[in-house]
Amino acid sequence: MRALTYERFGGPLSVSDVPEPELPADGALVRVLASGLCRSDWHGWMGHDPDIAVFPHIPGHEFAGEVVAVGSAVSGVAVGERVTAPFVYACGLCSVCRAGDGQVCPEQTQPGFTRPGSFAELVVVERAATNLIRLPAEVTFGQAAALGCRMATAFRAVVHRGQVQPGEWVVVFGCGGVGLAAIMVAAAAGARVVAVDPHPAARARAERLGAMVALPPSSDLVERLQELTGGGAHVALDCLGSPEVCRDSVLSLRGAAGRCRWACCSAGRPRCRWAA
Amino acid sequence: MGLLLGGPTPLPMGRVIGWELTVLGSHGMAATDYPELLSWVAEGRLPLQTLLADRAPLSLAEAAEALPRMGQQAGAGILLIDPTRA
Repeated sequence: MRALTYERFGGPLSVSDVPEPELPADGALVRVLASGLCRSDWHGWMGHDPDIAVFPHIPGHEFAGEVVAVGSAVSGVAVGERVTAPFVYACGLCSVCRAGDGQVCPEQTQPGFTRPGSFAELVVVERAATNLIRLPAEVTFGQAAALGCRMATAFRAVVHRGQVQPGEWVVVFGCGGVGLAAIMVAAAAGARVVAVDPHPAARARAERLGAMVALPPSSDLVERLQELTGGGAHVALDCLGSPEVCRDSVLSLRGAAGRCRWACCSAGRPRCRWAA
Repeated sequence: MGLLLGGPTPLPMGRVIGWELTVLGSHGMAATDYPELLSWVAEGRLPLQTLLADRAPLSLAEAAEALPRMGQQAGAGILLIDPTRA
């Protein structure tokens, strides 16, 4: 099959014929019909990710496509089904997975990082019973690939972790891929969204996607946010990942006089740095 | 949610304690939680089209040229690859 590969970090990227991946008994082989190009792929190529250790390496971790083969131990999955998968392949067996938290499975593998990814004609989804996601007919392959790590990460942070309610104030720091996705999700959830980013183009994009206002960082940023939100945000999201933003996201929150407030910062096993 | 590189990060924990704030991590999403997200997409609640770069999907060869530029690109929209394109 044709695939995009590199032999060393920072080295040439080439497209060539490589052997088709082996199909594990509990896996599925998917023909990739759309794959997102993410800043995490660049981080991987640059050598920022110790999980990439086998070369030539095929990057790519946000994809959608059709099932072309299933392993002998997989039932209930048909060839031709339209599918996607999370960028973390959970084992489906450990106590973390059984509790429904496969996104932080300690036995996880990751396409495009610990194993060959989706910048290829074919990609393996390990533990298909756990990790294959069927696409509704209304969702295109391109849309599903565009969800990728950024939209799934943003959706979980806003809806499940932040539990954003209609009318609440949400401050999103960093308007890259995951930040813009968080703005879209928070606006769709009915929140009043304030975005922060140093780049005018990113701020303009944030406002088009549903932010009421987008501010550049400044020395009085925290005070401005506290004032703008009438006493602080209900939820602040660090979508950049810097110590300064972590600090400011905490300081932009309102006190817990009424109900719980949240800041989402990174924790656990990092992967999707902020997607482009 | 943004990933912190390079060791432990100091937080204003005095504020967290005094104002009873909650600090949460978030990292991806399990497959079992995707149907809710996909239903938002199917219902048109998330205008994904506006996140996409305004261009046709890249071939693998075009992606090979685009990947090294991902480090500096900002706000240009999501690039999609179609590996079936020659």
